[in-house]
Amino acid sequence: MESKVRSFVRKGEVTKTGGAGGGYVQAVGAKPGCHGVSLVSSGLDDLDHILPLRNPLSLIVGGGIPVGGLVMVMEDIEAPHHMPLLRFFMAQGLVHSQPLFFATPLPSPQAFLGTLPAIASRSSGAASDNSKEGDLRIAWQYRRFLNEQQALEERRYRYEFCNDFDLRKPAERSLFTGATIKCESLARGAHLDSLLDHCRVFISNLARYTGEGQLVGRLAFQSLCAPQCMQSCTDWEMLRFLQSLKSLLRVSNAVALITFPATLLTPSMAIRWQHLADILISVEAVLDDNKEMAGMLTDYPDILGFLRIHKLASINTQVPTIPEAAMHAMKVVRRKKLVLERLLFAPVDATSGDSKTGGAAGLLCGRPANASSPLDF
Amino acid sequence: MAEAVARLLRDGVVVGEQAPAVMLCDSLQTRAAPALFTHFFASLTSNIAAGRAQAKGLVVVALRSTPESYTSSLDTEKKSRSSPGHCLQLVDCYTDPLGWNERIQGAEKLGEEGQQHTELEASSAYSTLCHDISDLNSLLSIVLRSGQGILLTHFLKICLMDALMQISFLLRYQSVAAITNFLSALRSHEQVSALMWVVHGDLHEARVVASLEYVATTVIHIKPQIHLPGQMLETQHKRETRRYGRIYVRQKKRNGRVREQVEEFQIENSGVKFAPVTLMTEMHQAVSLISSIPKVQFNLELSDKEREDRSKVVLPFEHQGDGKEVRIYDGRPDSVQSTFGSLNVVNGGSRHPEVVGSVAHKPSGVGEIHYLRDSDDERPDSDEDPDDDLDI
Amino acid sequence: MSEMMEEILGLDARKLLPGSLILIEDSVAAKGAFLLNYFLKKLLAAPHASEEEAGGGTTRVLFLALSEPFSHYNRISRKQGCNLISYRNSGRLIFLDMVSDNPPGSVWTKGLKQSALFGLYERVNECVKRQEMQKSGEERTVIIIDDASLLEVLAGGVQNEVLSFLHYCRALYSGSHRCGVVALVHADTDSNRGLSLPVDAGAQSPAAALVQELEHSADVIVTVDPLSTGLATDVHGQVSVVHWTDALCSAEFRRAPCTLQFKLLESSVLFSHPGGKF
Repeated sequence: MESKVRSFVRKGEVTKTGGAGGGYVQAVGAKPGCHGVSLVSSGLDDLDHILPLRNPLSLIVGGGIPVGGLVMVMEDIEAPHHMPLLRFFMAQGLVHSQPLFFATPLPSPQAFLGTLPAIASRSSGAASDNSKEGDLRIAWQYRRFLNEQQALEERRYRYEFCNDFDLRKPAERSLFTGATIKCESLARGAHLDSLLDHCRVFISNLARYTGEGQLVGRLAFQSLCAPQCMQSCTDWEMLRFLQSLKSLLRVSNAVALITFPATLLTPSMAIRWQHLADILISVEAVLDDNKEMAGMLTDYPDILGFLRIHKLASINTQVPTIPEAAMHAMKVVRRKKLVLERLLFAPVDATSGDSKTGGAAGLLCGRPANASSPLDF
Repeated sequence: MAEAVARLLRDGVVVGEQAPAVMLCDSLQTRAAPALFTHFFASLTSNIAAGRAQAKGLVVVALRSTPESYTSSLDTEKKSRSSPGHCLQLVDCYTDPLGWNERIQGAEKLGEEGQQHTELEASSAYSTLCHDISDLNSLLSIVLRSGQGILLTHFLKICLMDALMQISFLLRYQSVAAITNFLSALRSHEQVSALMWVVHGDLHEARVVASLEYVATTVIHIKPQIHLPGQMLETQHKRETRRYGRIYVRQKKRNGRVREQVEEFQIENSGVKFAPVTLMTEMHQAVSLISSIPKVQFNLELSDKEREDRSKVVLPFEHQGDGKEVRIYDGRPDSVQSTFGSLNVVNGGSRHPEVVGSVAHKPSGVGEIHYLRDSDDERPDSDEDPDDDLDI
Repeated sequence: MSEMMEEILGLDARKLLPGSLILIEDSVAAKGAFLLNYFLKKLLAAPHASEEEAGGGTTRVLFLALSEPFSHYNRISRKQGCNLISYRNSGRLIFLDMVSDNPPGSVWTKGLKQSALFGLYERVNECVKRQEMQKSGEERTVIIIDDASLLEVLAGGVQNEVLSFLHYCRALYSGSHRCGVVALVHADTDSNRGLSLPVDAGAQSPAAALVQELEHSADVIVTVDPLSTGLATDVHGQVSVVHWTDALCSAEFRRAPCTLQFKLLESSVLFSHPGGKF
C-alpha cells in the first residue's frame, strides 16, 4: 500500500525556515542554488566561482556558500592567507547588512573589525541601498526564464551578489552603523558552552525575520583551535562544539566560516575537523625565491600563496561536487584586489631539464588526491 | 597442533594441577579466532556429549557474539546425536553487559515487566543473564553457579569446562589485573576442568597480551599465511588472508619445556581444516623450484606413490580389526593356546577388562596382546614426547 | 548497474542475520554517506514485492541521524524514488533526527555525563519497543547510524561508550530478533591506518582506535576509497566489500571480495568493475 504513495512530491511538505531545510531564503545577498539550497557570497568573487561548479546556474553566475553550511579554512602557520578570506567574508556580510557574529582569540575583536576592507570605489554604496532589494528579487525570476537577458542581468547580479573590495582602504564607518555585530574574544580561553549559547541566541534571532525580510546571518571564527582557545577546553569538547554549531546552522539561515591551524591539532583530530566541514579549503604559503617553482609557474613573482579546495558542499544531494582544479594561486592585482587564478604552468624548458624540476612539480601537485591530510605531501 | 589442543581441553585438569588454559590470539589480518574458537567449541561439546571428556558440562560466557549462536550450533548437534543438551550453560553477557537495559526497565513502570520477561525466558533455558560485567566477582559466582546447575542434573565428578570468553571485550571495562585475577581464580577452582578464551592481539598493548599469555598454558597465535612477494594479486590476497592462515601453538609443558608447533588452517563452509605446514609444495611450479629443501644427491621427499605405499604398510603391533584373528609369530608354537585352555583360564575373569571388551567375541583370543590405539589422536610413529607427562 | 553491487553485497533484508554489524568506512576525500541511502532504500523497498508470500516478514529501519537532518536524506531518497515520509507515516521508518532536534538541552549540548550515550540508547530502545508493541509478527529492525564517529564526539572521546552503545544496539531485541546495525565510520580518523601493520601486531599501537575495534566485530565491511589517481567527475571512487561472516549471504553464494568503482548520480548510484563502463 505504501508503494502506492507517489514518491515524487512536488512541494516539500517540510517547510522549515532552515537554510538547508527547504525553500529558498529570500534575503539580501542570497540567491538560489541547486538542491533547494540558497547561496551567499564568500566575499571573494573568484572563490564564489570555484565553490559549487556543478550547479548549471553557478556555471554562469558563480556559486557561493550554501546557507546552513560550514566553511573551514585550514590555515598555514607561516602565512596569513586565511585572513583576507575571513575579512572578505565578514565585509560582504556587512555590505548586505547581514548580522555578523565574530569570535577571535584576539583580545579586542572590535579592532579587527576596523581592518575589514572597503568596497572598491566604483561600487561603493550601491549594494547597501535597500531600494535595490525588490529589483534584485525580480531579476532572479527573470533570469530563470529569459536567456536573452541573462548576459545583461548577470553582470548586475554578480555585482550585487558579491562586491569588489579594496584591500588598501579600511571599511567606511557607515557600514557599521546599524549593523548587528556580536563579538566574542577567546583570548582567555574558549568557554564553549557560553560561546555556543551566544551562537544559539544569534541564530534564533535570525528566525524572527520571516517572509520578505529574511536575513542570513554570518558567523566567523578566527583560529578556533589556537593555543589560547584550547587552554580551557579539550579537543573533544571542541569537536562537540563544532558538531553542535553545524547542526544549529543546518536548520537556520546562517553560514559560518572557521579558520583553524590544522597543524596544531593531532592528525586524527584534524581529520575529524575536516569531516565536519561542508566546504574545506586550505591556504598554503609560497616559498620566496624558489628557483624551481619560478621555472614552473609563469606568474610566480605575483603569487602570494596557494589555495587548495579539498571538499565542496553536498547538502541535500549525494553527488559530490568536484572542483575543476584543486589548486589556485592567490594574487593581488594592483595592490588592492585579491584574485584567485588557476595555476599556469610554464612550458617545460628543455635546456634546464635536470631531474630537480621534479621537485618543484612534486611540491605543487605532488599531494595525492586521496591523501587525508594537507600535510601529506 | 589443533588436535593436541582439542585433546588438552578434553582431558582437562590433572590432579593437583591448575586447569589448562588456552588462549587464542588473532589480529585484523586474519580475524580467524572466532572460527577456530567454534571449531574447538564443537569438538569439545561432542566430546562432552559422548562422555569422553573429563568435563561434564560446558559454561560459555558469551560476550562478543550472541548467545543464540552457541545454542544454535548445539541444536544442530542435538539433531545429529541424541545426547542430552544440558551440558551447555550460557552466561549471557551479551544482552546487557552494563546494566543499561536494567536501568531502563527500572525507570519504567513495573507493570511492563511481564513483556520483558518473555524475551528473557526465550533464552533462559540454557542461560543466565549477567547485568554487570564490571563486577567480576559476581560474574565469577554466576559462572560457577551455572556450572553447578549442570552438576545437579548429572551429579558426576566435579568438572566444569569454562570456555569461550572474548577477553578483548572484557578488557574494555576492566583492568588487566582484574581479568588475570578472574582467570586464575577460575583456573584454580576445583570445578573447572579447562579454560579457553579469545583475545584480539592488535587491540591491546603488548603488555596486556603478555600478561594474559602468562596466565595461559597454551597460546595459539593466529597469523596470516606467509606469501612470497608478488605471488598473489592484491584482491586475491585479501581473500586468502581471510580464509587461510597459520597457527602457532605454544604449549607450556609441565616439565618446563615449551613446544611450539606451526600448522596451517583453512576456513571452509563446513568448518576449519588443519593441515601440516606445506612449505612450498602447494605453490606454483615455478615457485617450488626455489624451495627451501637443499639440493642433494639423494631424495629427501617422498613421491606420491611412495607416500601411498607407506600408508598401506600395516604396522605389526596394530590390531587390524578385520574380524579375523591376527596371528603374530611370537616365537612360540601354536600349542600354547591349548595349554592355556587346559589351564582353564579361557573364560576366567582374571583377564584385563579392556581386553575383554574388545576380543570377547572371539573365543580363541587367549593370551594375545592387542594393541588398541588410544584414539585417532596419535599416529603410531608420532614424535610426541613419550615423557610428556613425566612429573619432575 | 547497481545489481553488481547487490550481487557482491548479497543484501537481502529478510535474510539479514540478527545482530549483525555492517560497517561502512570512508574518508574525507570520498564520502560514504551515499551508501546509507543505498541501504535505506534497499531495506525499506526490498521486502515489499514478496510481502504476501513471506508472511509479513517486514523490515523496519531506525535511522539515527547525527550528521545531516531529515530533509537532507528525504530529498536524496525522493530523487531515488523512495518516499521516506510515507514510510515514516506507516511506521516502517523511525527517524531520530539529532540535527534538527537541537534544543538547548539536547544530546549535543548538555555536559559530559557519566554515560552520554546511555540517554541516546534509552531513546533508541524506547522507539524500538514502542514499535514492537504496535505490530506483532515476524519482523526485524535495522538501525542505521550516521555516523558512528560522531557518536565518539558525543561521548567525549570515550571509545568504550561508543562500543557499548553499538553493542547494545546489536543486542536489542525487536520481536524475536536482535537488531541489525549499519554504521558509517570515518576510517581515516584512525591515525595508525595506512601504516603497514607489523606482523606482530601486539607490539604496536598504544591504544586501538574505534575503527579497529569495530572492524573486529563487524560482519561485513564496506570500504569507500577515492581513486588513487585523484578526483574525477566520471568516477567518484571505489567501494570494496569484505564479508567476514555469513551475515549477508552464505559463503556458497558470495563471490570473492571485490572492488567496484562507482559514480554518483542524483537518482542512483552506478557501479562498474574497475576500468569498465558504467
